[in-house]
Amino acid sequence: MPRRHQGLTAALLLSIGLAACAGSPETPEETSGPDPVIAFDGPDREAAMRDIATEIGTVTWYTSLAGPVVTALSEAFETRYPELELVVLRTAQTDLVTRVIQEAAADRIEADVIEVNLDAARLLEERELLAPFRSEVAAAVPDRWQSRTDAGDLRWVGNRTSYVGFAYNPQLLAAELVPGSFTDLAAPELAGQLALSTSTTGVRWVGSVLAALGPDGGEALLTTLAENGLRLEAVSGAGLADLIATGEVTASPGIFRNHALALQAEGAPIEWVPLEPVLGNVGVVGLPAGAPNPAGGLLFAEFLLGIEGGEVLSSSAYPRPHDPVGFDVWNPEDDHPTTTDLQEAFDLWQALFDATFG
Amino acid sequence: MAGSTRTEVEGPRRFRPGSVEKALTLVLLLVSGMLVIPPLAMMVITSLMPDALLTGHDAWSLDAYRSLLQPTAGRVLRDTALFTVGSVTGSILLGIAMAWLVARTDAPLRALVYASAFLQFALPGMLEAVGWVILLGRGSGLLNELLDRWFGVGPVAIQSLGGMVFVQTLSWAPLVFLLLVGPLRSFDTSLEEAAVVAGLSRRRALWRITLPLLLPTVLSIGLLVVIRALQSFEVPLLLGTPAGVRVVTTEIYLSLRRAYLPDHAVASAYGTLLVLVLFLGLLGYQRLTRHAERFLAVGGRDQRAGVHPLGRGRWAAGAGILLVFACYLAPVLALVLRSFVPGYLTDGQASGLRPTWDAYRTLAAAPGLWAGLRNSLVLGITAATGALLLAALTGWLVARSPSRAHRALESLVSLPIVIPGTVLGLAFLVTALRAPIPLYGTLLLLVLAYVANFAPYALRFAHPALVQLGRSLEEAAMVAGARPWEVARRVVVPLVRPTLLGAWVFVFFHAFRDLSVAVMLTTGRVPVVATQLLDLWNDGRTGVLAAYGTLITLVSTIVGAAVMLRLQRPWVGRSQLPDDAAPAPPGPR
Repeated sequence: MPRRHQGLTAALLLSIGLAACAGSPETPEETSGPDPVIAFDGPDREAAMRDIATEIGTVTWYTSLAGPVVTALSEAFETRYPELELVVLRTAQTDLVTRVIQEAAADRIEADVIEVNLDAARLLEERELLAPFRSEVAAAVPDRWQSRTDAGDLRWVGNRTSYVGFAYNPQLLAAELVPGSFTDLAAPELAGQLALSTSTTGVRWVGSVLAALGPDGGEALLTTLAENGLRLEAVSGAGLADLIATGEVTASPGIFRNHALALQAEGAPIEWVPLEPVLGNVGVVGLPAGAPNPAGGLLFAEFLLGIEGGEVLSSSAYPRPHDPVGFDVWNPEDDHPTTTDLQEAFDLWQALFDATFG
Repeated sequence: MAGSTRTEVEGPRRFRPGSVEKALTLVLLLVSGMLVIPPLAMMVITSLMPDALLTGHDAWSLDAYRSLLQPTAGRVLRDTALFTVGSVTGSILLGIAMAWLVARTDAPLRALVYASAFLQFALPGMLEAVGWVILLGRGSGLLNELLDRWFGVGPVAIQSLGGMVFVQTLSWAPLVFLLLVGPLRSFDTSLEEAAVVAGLSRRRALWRITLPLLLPTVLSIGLLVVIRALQSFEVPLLLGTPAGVRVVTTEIYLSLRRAYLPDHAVASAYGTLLVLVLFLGLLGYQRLTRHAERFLAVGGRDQRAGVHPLGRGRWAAGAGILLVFACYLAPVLALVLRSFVPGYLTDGQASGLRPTWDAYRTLAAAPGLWAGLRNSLVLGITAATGALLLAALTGWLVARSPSRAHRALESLVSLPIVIPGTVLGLAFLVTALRAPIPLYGTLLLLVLAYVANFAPYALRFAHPALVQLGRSLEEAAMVAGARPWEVARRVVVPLVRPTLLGAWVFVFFHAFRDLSVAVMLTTGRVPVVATQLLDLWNDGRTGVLAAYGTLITLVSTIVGAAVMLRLQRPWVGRSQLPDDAAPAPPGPR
């Protein structure tokens, strides 16, 4: 090694050593019960929460929700609570999970309320990063869509769901070619017409195929689809729906119903049909442990779970997880009740996704 | 021929750094060390401790490196190599042609070359790819429909390896152009003239005299473009993935996106290997430029490069420039069109053809829009200024006195170039969260990360120009009693000002639009344009995305042009070059 690089190398190695010895992320100690601020349950509870939240003035909401629904929810919340400013950080599930873990490790939590899908929430819960809380509004949600501590306090509550089905551009795909089941996707007439998103939605859709057709039947269908030229698009589910509406992609079996309906409302040529059992994607709301404005976070969580938030979500085609939808639904959590089970299954689906379409 | 070769540089006296230089070196080493070493160390540690970042389990493991040896690795490496070779070759050839036409010929429409560069820099890479999909997407490309209707030609799919190379060639050619145009313009033509007088044709003189003298510059630019190619992200993602073309960066991206707990270890392992490979390249570059005086091209004489009359080829060159400009303008126009017209144009749906302001109305109502624009402008300006300052001072120290300390400084400033943006962003996030000062959630944190991220590019801009400066002028000034600061201000900076301007503009545009670092460091209170664009893309709102892209292109072009014009003003009107639109260095009188 040239002598002039020896000093740099030594400095680098020293830094690595020091950094390696430095504190690594530690999960915060679990609290035994809710923060006293949000445990208050007197008769004028909401007014008290408002007063406490207003002292800080802002409520920070971390969400993986996409689209105009985020703006609509923000506006509706600020209309109800004009004294509070809602600060939104909207990004991918993976980035949100990373950020919450890192903020917690450094004890610098910025989020007051988190809204992510169930899989991500369970990961955060497992790492004890969600604070226990109490809310009467959650009473309307079935036990299946909420998680509680041993003491009966809430960890998270399901507030909305979306469904993944087959979407197509009716100007490009004849009605008689629209599949009615997973196996219909293998029709030669659909060769070269289908696409999937590379996001977690695409991987989860592979899981739904395996759940519907069994391991052998599912793998056979996926192989046929790959042979028929199914292509991957590096966009989110909403982005893929937009590509269908513009005609860039003819059809996809991995499109969220709410995205297709939102485009339809704008006059876009896109149709959505369920392929049963339809893959469900449940979104839940929780409060991060150590949030700077827990009262504000709780107000927003209850707003999401309440009538006004429900109306905004419903108008964007996000029903409650327990609302009837008229088709059979498969939620991965049904077959994989623990986080470890689900992670192992997810790894399997991902490997299959890569091997088949990658 | 005085002043053209080392043997003829008056006095081999080496610049002796005094106390000012020593202090400057120390300060720069401290600043760059604080900016560079923590993220680099974090990347290496993360690659060797897969669970350290997210779970706190700090067991050493080579699992991340083993996972790189998966069956698809060969295909990924092959695609990466094909894409890199194709786009690097294309962009260097196109960039050289653009620079040569502007700096050394009387081709018409040369201002359009600068306009092309501005357009490319102003348009974020993601929007550039989206623009080309609108034009040449295999499903609904507007030009494809025209090709089919008029010529019966099948779709020309931009989503292909060839399409990736084409778009990326257009992306990087302006970088090559801007890096080369300064040296070409200020090139000492005495050797070339002597060769012509001795009987060589202009063309042979170009090949045998000019290009060999420019070799260090071209090679350093080539190295930079190779690095950019290996880090290229948006084009492979949007145009390669649908075609089954996967490169290293898209593998990193996918490894970070598919699972709920992102695999930072694999991304860091990729980054660490890139560091090792490209560090060798940096060593090669340093070895190459160690004796740069042999290629000394800017001396103490008035030596503005001569113009080659193209004769009848003049108009062909002009047509070529026009074609290139059209290639840069086309995706911008596609976005403008898409911002006014919903994209649902298939089967001639008449309602889709009515232009509306809907996308702009939606955009205007979007929360945080102006805050994002303001933050990105501040970020672009401060990061460009900071990175340029760090790079110019480093480059000057190295060019004048390549001591061990200065070489170490150069290596330190250059290192972040090989750290993937997402990993760099994550490292700054982790560092800021543990820092004793409240950096997290501030624009200052983004500025620091962007200075670290873009200083290597600014250095690659500045260094070749500084290397090509002879020491004679500085030594003459010092002999005449000028202090180091005065030498820098009155001799060095004026001579390399066009190159430094190019570096500033480059960093400004890239900091303004960069996504990979911003995605890890922005918070709800500090939105920036890049993350807002990503949101729109994730939402599938390409109409609003196109409207925002149009607005951004407009704003950043105006800002960039204003800065260029403002900083050029002392020389505007005095340029003796035929094309006054081009920046001209003030040759010593």
